[in-house]
Amino acid sequence: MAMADVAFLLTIAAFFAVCVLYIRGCDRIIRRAEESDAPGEVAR
Amino acid sequence: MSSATWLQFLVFAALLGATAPLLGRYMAAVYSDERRAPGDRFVLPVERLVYRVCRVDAAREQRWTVYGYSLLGFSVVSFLVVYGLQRLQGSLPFNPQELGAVVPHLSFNTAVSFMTNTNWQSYGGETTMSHLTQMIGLTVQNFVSAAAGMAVMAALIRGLARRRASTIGNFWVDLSRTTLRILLPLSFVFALLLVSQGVIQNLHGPTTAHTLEGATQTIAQGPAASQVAIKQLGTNGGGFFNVNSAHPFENSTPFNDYLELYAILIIPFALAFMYGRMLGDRRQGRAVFVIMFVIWAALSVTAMGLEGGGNPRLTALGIDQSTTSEQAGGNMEGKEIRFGTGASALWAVSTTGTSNGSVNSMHDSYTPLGGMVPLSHIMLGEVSPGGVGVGLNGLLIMVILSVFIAGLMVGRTPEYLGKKVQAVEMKMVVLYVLAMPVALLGFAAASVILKSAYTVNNPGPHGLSEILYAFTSASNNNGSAFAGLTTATDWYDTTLGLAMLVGRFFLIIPVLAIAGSMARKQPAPPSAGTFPTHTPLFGGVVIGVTLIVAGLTFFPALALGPIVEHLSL
Repeated sequence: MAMADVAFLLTIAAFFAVCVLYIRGCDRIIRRAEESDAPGEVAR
Repeated sequence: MSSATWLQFLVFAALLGATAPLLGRYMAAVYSDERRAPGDRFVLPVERLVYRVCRVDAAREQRWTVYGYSLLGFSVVSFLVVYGLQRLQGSLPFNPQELGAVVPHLSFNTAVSFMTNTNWQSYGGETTMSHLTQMIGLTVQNFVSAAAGMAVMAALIRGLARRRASTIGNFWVDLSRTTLRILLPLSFVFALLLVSQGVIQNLHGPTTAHTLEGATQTIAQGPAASQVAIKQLGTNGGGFFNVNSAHPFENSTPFNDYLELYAILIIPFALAFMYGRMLGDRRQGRAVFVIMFVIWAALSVTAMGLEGGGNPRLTALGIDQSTTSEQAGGNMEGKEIRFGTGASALWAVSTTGTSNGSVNSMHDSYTPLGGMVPLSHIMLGEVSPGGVGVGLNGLLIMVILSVFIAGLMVGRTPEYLGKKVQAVEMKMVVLYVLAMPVALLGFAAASVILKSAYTVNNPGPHGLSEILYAFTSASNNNGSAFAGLTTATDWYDTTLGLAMLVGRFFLIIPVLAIAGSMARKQPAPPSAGTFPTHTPLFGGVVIGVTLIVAGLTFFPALALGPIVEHLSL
């Protein structure tokens, strides 16, 4: 395996790690908004 | 525009309008919560087998975060498979040309390209990829990357339709049902139709032929029809051959051309009707369809008119560019005679509105304003009618933004489908709207500044258009190329790959977040204060907002490229 292969595989790993953080960040924004609203029953 | 071109366009538009509702009805059944759809008797056993083998609990629904993680995990595996196939193809079977391993930067670009449904090609298919890589790597991604986009769309619609729900579906179920019930059956039928028109389908290596002039010609062959079918239906666009749909083995006759054009547009337009049915309010679906149709039709007629009018410089020299029985007429540089300017321009507008990267003419050879039309169409965010799934997502984001702006203008709380559009949704909309332009303009600017990356063959405004088009295409996951720019370099393969990643996942994540947020809300019943979102007025607002957002973002760049080039003619 060439060094270039390692570099590109690390790049893709880093990008998807950022995506995971992005999801968590968005989820945090939504949860904060929900907590500030009145609590409601979730049916599903 | 000739009368024949008008007639072709009107018949084609009528055919789309007549058949899209039927497919929309079927797809609504596929994504319904009841999970009952025509063909259950045959497909359900296969579907259950897939779930059993993959250990998927089909009855278990997912929160938006889990749905997103599932998509990311699936995409990582897809990347690794396609990357590995390219790097190892020299040692693998179905390689009659004995092609060696694809170099790392091109493998990265291609794996990202097909995993993100972009299908940008920095390679020539027949001279770079073995049959195995084309079939197991690229064609499979044509199916599953399109299915993943449609799955996200289904999740968003559920989020808008459901009340006080914490889940938006199951990614693995949506992925499986989309592939098995929509894309595979349509592709099978469509591939047979293509073969009937002369598109090739075999596992042969290249054939050597001797021309009448005595020259030797190498004619590439392979399993083209099966790839072309899904490349159009899945709005992928990655060609089996280097010149894509301009190649007679991919797109043989004018009828074949319209058949493929129909395949490109039918699912995206049908999704609008599916949307209305899933919401239980068909007026919303019709409104979305009209918005998509108006933008697509207006740009199609504009591009066909500009290309049909010919090159102004040649007109000034007194050269006859009119359509007659002896010549196709118009600006024919870079176009196939069997298609002419009308079918070529219609194809260019349709593919750039659907995230389909296939081309049947070279956009680089269009008149400056004619070439600006497909470029601008991608810059609108590919919402008219949009790629399978992701296009409807983009349009619904624009609808939510329009609701918010309209609400501010009239002093009402913004609501869509009875659900309040609040700060959290608007934060996600802003993240969605900003991600693509940042990647597009940032990488394009860096390419212009870094002289080492400046490998355009045409300096000046046209060269800027070439660079701009490349990153517009990549960051919108379109995949078509303006051509004229040498992109098979370390710089372009890497940066275009990164632009594709941003354009796919940094847009999908906010969409899923909006789905999750909206799903939890309880809609309010319509009242006198409700702003209707199915009227022509609201449709006009959405079209206006879409044009203004894209115009404010990209007009300066367009002014320096195609507009300056047109003024200098």
